[in-house]
Amino acid sequence: MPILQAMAILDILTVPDPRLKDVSLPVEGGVTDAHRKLMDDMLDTMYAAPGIGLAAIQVGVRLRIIVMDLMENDEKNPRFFVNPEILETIEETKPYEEGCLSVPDIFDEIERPARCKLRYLDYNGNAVEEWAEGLYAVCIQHEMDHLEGTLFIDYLSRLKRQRAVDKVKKAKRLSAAEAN
Amino acid sequence: MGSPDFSTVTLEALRATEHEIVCVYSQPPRPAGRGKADRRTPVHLAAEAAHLPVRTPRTLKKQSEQDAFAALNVDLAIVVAYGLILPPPILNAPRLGCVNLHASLLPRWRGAAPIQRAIMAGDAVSGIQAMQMDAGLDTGDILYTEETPLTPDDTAGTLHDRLASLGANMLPTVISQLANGTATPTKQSEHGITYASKLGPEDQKIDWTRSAKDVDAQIRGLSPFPAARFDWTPPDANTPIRIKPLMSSYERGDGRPGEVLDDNLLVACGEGAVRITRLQRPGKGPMDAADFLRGTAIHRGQIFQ
Repeated sequence: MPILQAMAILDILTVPDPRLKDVSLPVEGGVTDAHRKLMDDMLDTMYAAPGIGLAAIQVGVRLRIIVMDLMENDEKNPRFFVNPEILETIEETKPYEEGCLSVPDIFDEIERPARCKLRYLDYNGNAVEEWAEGLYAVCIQHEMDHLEGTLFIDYLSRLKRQRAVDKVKKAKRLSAAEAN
Repeated sequence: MGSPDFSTVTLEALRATEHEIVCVYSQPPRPAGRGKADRRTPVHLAAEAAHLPVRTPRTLKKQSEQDAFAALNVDLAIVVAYGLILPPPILNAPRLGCVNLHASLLPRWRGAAPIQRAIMAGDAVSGIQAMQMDAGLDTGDILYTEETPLTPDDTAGTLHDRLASLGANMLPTVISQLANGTATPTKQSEHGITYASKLGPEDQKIDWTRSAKDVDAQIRGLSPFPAARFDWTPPDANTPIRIKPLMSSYERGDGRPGEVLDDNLLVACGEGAVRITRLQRPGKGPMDAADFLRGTAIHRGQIFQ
């Protein structure tokens, strides 16, 4: 049965792919059908991975676009962000054990502001301003770092970061060998 | 697998087929109603009444739940408004996979509130589809479609009931086609994808500067639940009361947005005017506008916020 084939699933870049260090470019001229198609495919890719957030650069597209679904209460409820900006953050920070689809199977605690105020365009191109808190605040800050070429492992010590990259490289080598 | 009334209709239809229902999955009992006692879902109650085994796990992400499901060794799972995410090990466990009944014409209105969003957007047609589930958000191949035109009298409530019965009627055909290998899974179009995002408080508040057509669609799309709302301050009071309109139509009319244009609840919008014909006020049941107006006069010239 073709159970997992209907979706458009894109390849996710993993470290040390240099494109993950690129700064993404703003979407000019509003949200078009081409951007929506990209967001649809990114969403499919994220659910299939599975993950709770994905930035366009993680599928090799250098645009300031993010998709997210925190799947709170065991319910799917996708969010889309075009040209997101953080307008302000509060001083209080909170640690959270983060992971990343571009750094698979590596998790570490990162400290970030507990709340942040966002401005972005949604799937339909409407401007939204809202405060994010909890996991939403963690995830949007993590994803927005991708737009600047920053990964969560960049906040770790050089030793931990190198170990993470080596681990991902080794896992990739092993799975490639298995496939042959 | 299902939880609310919508899925109860499906369960009844399934019981009427020759297929054996091995197990019913439903959301666990949750506090509800006055007194907040744990209340079983409509599907849970219907399954018990029919002496069917019921399982109510909180999540299907746990290995133990996935193993328990796989051990049932079922041919097919029918999923209707269940409300839990099905991870790949669950999706792949039944021999013929999991089939979802989705209450819109996909790929339009993928997601949580397709019935409400279709009416709120003023769609001319809606429908119910049987879909082979995959890991995405309502992205699976379509197995069967029943369409229904939307009328100016439709509310989320009437469309819900109509789609539930259309879905229940088509289900036996869908199941036999899957069973005898004559099903024709069709990929969804890549064009026309929209998302029926969850309804929030911001969807309920009426913005009278929008067109009458839009406000009317909002009122009917949110009726009976969670209902659109606006505030009205009676001339002899200081505090506004919150009114939930439940049924409306739109016509021509000129005035400031929110201005009442006659003594029968015709309200000016950004373009045209909406006539409210059924409503609910705090602490009272739903009533026709005529009955409401007998007790509470709202005259021409007053303003709704």
